[in-house]
Amino acid sequence: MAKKALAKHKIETLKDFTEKIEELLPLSEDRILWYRGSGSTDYTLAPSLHRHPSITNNEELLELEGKIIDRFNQRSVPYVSTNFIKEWEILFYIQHFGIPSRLLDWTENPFVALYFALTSAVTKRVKGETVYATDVNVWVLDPVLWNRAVLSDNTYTGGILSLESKHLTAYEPRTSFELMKNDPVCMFGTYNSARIVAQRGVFSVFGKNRKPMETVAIEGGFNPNTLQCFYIEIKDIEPLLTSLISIGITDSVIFPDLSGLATELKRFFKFRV
Amino acid sequence: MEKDQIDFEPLYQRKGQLWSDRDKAFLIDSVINKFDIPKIYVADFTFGNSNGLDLNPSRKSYAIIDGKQRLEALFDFIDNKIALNNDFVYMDDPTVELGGLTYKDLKVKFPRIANNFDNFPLNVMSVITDQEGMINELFVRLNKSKPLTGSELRNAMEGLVPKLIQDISNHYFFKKNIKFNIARAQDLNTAAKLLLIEFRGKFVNIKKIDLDRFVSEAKEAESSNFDSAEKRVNSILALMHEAFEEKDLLLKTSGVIPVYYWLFKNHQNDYKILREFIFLFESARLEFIKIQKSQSKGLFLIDLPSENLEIIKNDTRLIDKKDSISRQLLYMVRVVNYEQYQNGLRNPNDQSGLVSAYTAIEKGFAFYIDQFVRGSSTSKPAKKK
Repeated sequence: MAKKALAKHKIETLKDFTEKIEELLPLSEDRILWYRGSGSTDYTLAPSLHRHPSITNNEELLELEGKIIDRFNQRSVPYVSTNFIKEWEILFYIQHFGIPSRLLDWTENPFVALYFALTSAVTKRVKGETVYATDVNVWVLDPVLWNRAVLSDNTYTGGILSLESKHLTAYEPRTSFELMKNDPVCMFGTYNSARIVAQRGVFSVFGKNRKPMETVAIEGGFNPNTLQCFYIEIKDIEPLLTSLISIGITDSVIFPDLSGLATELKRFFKFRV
Repeated sequence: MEKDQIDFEPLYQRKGQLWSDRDKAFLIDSVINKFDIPKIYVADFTFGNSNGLDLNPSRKSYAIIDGKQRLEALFDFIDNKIALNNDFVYMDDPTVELGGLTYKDLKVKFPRIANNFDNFPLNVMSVITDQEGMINELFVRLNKSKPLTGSELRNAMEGLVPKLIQDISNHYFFKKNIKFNIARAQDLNTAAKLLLIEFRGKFVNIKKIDLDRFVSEAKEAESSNFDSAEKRVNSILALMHEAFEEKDLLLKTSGVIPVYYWLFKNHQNDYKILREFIFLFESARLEFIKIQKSQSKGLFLIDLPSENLEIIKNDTRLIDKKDSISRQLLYMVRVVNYEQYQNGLRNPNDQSGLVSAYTAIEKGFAFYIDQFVRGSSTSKPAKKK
C-alpha cells in the first residue's frame, strides 16, 4: 500500500483553528472528530505505558500494566471513594492522574486540545529567559473511520466502541498476549472523575504492538481523513494562548478543582506556570 | 451476536438449510418448552489478529463450527420465516394453542410465553485460535458421531486440495448446468473425482477411501501439479457449461459426470455436438431398456418415434428435429452396447466400471460421428452447430 505522510495544517489564529475544524467536520464519518494537543511536534501518538525507559518488549509491557493495576488497587483505598466494577474503570481513572497505561487521551472538545497543546509547549532557557523550543500539535482523529479500518478483519461497520462492545474484550486489561489485537481502537470511557467530565475525555486503547497511531495510519494506508495534524509555530503559541484564555478556556475549566484554580491564578498574575 | 456478523459458510461447513421447516420448528418447540439444546460452537475472530485470510476469508467476527442448523432455525424463527408446528403443545399449559404462530404473533398474543424464547440460555462456546487446522479438527471431532458424508468430512481436511475442490465446485457448470441434488455436498464429491481423475491422467478408483487418501497425500506433497490439474478441469468444465443447458435433464445423476467429462476432454474440438450425441445416446439407452423389458415379457416392439421418452418431451432444443432423431435412435439402439455402459455405471467409483462405461459411450460417439456428422450415413446428418 502507498505510504503517504499525514495531512498537516498550519494554524496561526483562533479563527484559523475554528474555520479549519468547521471545514473538516462535514468530511468526518459521523460528524465526530476527536482532538489531542501535544506540546511538541516531535511527540508521537503513543500511550504512557509505551514510554517506559527500559522495558520495550510488548508482552512485558502488558504484564506491567497488570502489575500497576494491582498496586493501585492495594494502595489507593484511602484516597479513592469510588468502587471500580471493571478493571477498565481503573484504567480510565488512573489515566487522569498520569499513571502509565495503554490508554491515550483524546477530547471531544477542540479547545481543550488546543489548551493542552499550548500550555504544555516545550520550553528552553536562552540567556536567562524561558522561550518556546518547538512547534506544537493538535491531532485530529476521525474515531469512526479509525475503528472501521482497524477492525476491517471483522468487517466492522459500527462507530466508537463502548464497554459493552464485543470488540473491546480483546483489549481488556490482562487479556493474554496472543489473544490481543494488534492496533489501537477508539472507545468511550466511563465518566468517573470530574476531570474526565470537564475535558470531555475519550480514549484510544492500544493492543499488542507498539506502533504509534500515526505509523499505524500511514502503514495501513488508512483514508487520509482518518488522522490529520494541526501545527502551531513557536511565534504563534503565546498570542494564541492569550486568545484562548480570553474566550474562557482557562486552567480551572480544564481542571475543575483547587489545583486547577491555583494554576489559573498564577497564570493570571503573570507568575511562571 | 448478530446474524450478519456470523459466517455460516466457512470452508469446512456442510451445506446450509438441511433441516426442513418442520425440523426447525421442532427445535423452537424445545426452546419454548424449556428443554435443553446442545452447545453451539463458533470461531471467535474478535480476538487475536485474524489477518490470515485463509482462516477468516469472509472477514466476519464469527464463523459457525457446530450448530449451524440449530442457529439457522433460531434466526429463521426470529425473522418470522417459520411458524410453530401445528401440533405444538405448550407443556406448562396444554390448553393454550400456539400451533402456526410466528415469533411476531407469539410476542403480541403471548408475550409471557415469548419470554421463554427470549430468555433461553443458549450455550455458545467461543473458539479462539489462529490455526485453521485446529478449527477443522474440532469440526471433525464434533461430527465424528454424526452421519456426515465423505465429502463433508473431506472438505474439513487440511491442505491445498479441499480448496481446489471448492473452487471447482463453484464453477458455472456446477452452479448452472447440473440437475442433481447437492444438499449433502454431492457437487463437492463430483468435483473431487474430476480433480483426481485429471491429476492421475486416467480413470482410477474414486471411492471414498481413494478420495480421502488423495487429499491426505496432497497435503504432504503440496505439489504445484494440483493447481495445473485444477486449471485443466476448469477449462473442460467451461466447454461443458457451454454445451449443456441450464439444469440439464441429462445431468440428473452425478455418477455419469466423470464419463461425460472424459468424453469432453478427449473430444474438445467436437464439444458443440457432444451434448446432442449424449442426448441421443441417453434416449437410445432408455429405448434399449424398454426393449429389454418388453422382450422379457415375450414381446418385441420398437415404437418409434418415441413420444413417450421423457427426455425428448422435455427438450425444447430438439423438438423440430424429432424425425431425424428417431431415425438416428434406431441406429444407435442397434449398434451400441448399452449393457456394458449400464453395468459400468452401476459402480461409478470403480476404475473398471468407469473404463467400460467410457468405452461404450466412446464407441457410440465414434459411430455417431461416422454415421450422422461426417456423413457416411443414409439418413440426413444432424446439423452441426
